[in-house]
Amino acid sequence: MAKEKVFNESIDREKVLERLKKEKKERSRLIDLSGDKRGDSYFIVYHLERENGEIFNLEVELKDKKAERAISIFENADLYERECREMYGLEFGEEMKNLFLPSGAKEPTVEKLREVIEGGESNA
Amino acid sequence: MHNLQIPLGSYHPLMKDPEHFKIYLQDGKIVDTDLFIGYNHRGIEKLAEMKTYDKLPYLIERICGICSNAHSSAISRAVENAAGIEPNKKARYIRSVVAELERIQSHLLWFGTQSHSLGFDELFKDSLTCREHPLDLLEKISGSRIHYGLSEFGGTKKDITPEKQGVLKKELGEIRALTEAMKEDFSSNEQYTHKLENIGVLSKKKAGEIGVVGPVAKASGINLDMRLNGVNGAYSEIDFEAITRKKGDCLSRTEVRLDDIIQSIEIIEQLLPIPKGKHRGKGRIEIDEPIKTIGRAEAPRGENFHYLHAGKKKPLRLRIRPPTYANFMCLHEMAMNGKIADAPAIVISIDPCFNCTDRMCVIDLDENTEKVRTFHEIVEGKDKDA
Repeated sequence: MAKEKVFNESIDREKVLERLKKEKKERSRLIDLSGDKRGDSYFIVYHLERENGEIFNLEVELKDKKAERAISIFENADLYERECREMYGLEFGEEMKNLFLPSGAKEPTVEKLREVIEGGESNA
Repeated sequence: MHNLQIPLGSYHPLMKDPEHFKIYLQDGKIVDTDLFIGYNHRGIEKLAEMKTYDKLPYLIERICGICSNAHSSAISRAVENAAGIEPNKKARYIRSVVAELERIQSHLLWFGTQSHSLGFDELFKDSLTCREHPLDLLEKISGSRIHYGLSEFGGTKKDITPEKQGVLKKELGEIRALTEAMKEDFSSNEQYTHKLENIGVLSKKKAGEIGVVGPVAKASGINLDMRLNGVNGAYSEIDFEAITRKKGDCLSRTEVRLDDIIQSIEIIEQLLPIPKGKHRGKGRIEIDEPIKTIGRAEAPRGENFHYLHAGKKKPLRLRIRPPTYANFMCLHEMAMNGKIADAPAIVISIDPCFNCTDRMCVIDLDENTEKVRTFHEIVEGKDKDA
């Protein structure tokens, strides 16, 4: 049985759209997009699969919670970005409809969950 | 004609996956849709960060009651990738057999649900009757019909003994005969096929752009199947190809799933007899260094993707993208410019694990009034206002 070929890469926020365009041109597909918070830093990770089956986790650190909107490159980023906005409070520079939370709800869910369940405990 | 907004589905305690679609009509044609989910958010990704690795498969397989094995397989592969463990040969065969039985029962449940929703209850009965066979087999193998508790890193907790393999072989013949008969009844029923043909078309180009997976992608001609990438189970040791269609309509998606059932039977037949040897793996494991990796499995609805940022004893972050989430976006594309009467068939055709088409509430935006209409009123064209 073969092993998944997984590559992890960090990239600056300013360069991410350019990189995603390049990946799209080379026929990569966006499998998923996930948010994360480690310490005081927020992250957004683009999970891409290249034509040869290699997986690329492209991680962007967001110091000010501001992320790039990628739907002009990968249409399916829409739902995932909306989820990141609601869960982590990430900002994508435009008005977005709520997907998970009731309309009008603004508090990031993960922050709330972290306070209620985890009490700030870290697994690291 | 009024401009109307039709909420399709809402939260209901009887529904497994409550989702809410708003459908906007202009002169009887669908001109826009909105999607709202999260009615049943359980915080499983966050909960996973508090579990040691050996507890993860139990938690993760409870995400779904229909494709529980696909979730526990994906998380097992993710942890195995992080720990550098490879499952033993026998376990890979057992995992594949269970995955195919799960696919069979899931597709049969879906076909029954679609048949019932579109008014063909005879096929609903046949499909659910046939589904008892794979469920019985899963119970025989694992002791459970829903959550199989099979996954263990590097192995499986349950064995499929030669006696059980004998029963499996016999029952597969029965499932094949029942499915073939259902396929014949379905394809010869023009009333049924006309409700699906050229409805909810998703072109190959658009399917690629939206990133759909599983039978939805395959019905639009995209050859995307995680069983074929050689990183899961024993699929690389047998011979099969992904079943595809070109038209991308509701009929194609039905045909792909029905053919998938027969193919799953053939895959299990190829996997038997299961090689001899040990099947157990490791219980508790620790990861040497934090690592970011993934695990994938081909669930009945398509690619199930798990991203794992692994800490030493517990995940630092676990992200789960189930197939229905990837397929949601295509509903807008499929429904646009269609009729409201086709909306139930379109929604069901992506197999979203829910069926809330039994009633609809029509809101007249101009007059600010609402009226509940039954599923039959709408499907049978009695919804004259709409």
